[in-house]
Amino acid sequence: MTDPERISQRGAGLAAHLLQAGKSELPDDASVERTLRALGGAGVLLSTSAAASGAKVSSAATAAGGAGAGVAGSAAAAGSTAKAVSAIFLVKWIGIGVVGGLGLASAAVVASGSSTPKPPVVAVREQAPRAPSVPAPVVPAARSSVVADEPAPVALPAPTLSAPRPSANVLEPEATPPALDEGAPLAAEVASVDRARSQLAAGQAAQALATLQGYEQQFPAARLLPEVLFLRLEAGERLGRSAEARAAAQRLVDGFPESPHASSARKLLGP
Amino acid sequence: MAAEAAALDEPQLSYDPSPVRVEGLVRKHYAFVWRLLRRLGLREGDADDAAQQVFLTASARLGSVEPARERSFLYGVALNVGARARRSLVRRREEPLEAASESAAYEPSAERLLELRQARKLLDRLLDEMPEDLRVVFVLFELEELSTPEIAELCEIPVGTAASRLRRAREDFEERVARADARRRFPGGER
Repeated sequence: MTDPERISQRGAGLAAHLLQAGKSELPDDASVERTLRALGGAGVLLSTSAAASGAKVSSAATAAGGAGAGVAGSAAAAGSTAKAVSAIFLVKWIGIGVVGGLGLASAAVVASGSSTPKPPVVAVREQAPRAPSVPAPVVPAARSSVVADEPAPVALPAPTLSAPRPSANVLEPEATPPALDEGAPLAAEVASVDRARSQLAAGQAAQALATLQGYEQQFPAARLLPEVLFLRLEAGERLGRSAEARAAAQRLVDGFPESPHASSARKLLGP
Repeated sequence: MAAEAAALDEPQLSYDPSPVRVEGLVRKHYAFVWRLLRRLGLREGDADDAAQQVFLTASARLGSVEPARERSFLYGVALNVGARARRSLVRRREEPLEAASESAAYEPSAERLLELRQARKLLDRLLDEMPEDLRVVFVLFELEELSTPEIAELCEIPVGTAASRLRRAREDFEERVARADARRRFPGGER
């Protein structure tokens, strides 16, 4: 039996166009990483891609990232000995280097029961663990929503931030040094990146690109540059501005080859 | 899904359940699972959550999953999780697409739809309108580029049935696309 020609391969027509659009859709790398962290394999990841991601965020954020990674390492160890998933349920929206480290730090603190709940940190949200009888709780994703027939998680503010939080909030987890001078700008950077991400998610690719293009001027330290470049790549693609997308991809691959986003960039650039 | 049920009923630990295999499973199949969930009707954020649920469920059962059957197993879990998620979700499909379609009507060229996001919304709406059994086969063939025999195996149906569903699904889809296109071009005419 021979399969018919796929509609998307006709090259023309609305049906083909719609299917090509559907085919080209990919989850973002952060989504994959969140899932990996939520799994028993998180220990593996924390020693590789997550740590690498944190390390790429620049020396200015080293104290915060390092502390986060340290606690995250504890979480990973605890998670592996306690068979995995349990310690990781609490991680919420971990997308990028330092933020990811801080998120895991929060998770570790909450999991150990040694801390009172903290207010949401910029771009990092937590939630109470679901009932243990549920086979596999979900670590809510960036664009929070309900998945299974379970009560909705306590909704904390979405990561769409209009104003930076005080630096103390960013570096709040226990055992983390007080905010550095760079803390407040880091929060602002996170807010800026979040704004771009939200714009992209809302289909406002042009606005997102504008936000991202202003990022490097606004924040010369550019500690979230890998994430920004990845979003520029995505925004450029969505707008059909392939040269811009490729330029961002090239910078990502050249400057941050170990970034979790670099693999997507390489795919775009081709062999 | 029978494949999933079989795997879930008797979780005999005979295959590698290690974190390394779990990670490999995610990296290899995440896009497939996520896109499948998207085209089965979940929004992006919902697909993120659901994909995570799929792999969490799968990782707990991985010891009973033969490596060669991973994709098939994930497919079964994804269908299950996706269906549950769709039931529990408050669907909010109405707002963006309708509004966007209205504005698109003023420039009825196909180029207007070139914006990918817009195209995906319309695609999702059209898929939403398809009968579920056709939709699954259609998505696997047209979007995931599986062959009919592969689809038959995944869905545990005869190849002839898969081919027949595919044919009906394609006709159904193209009719819906034609109607949607007509609505775009002549707003206020056909509803």
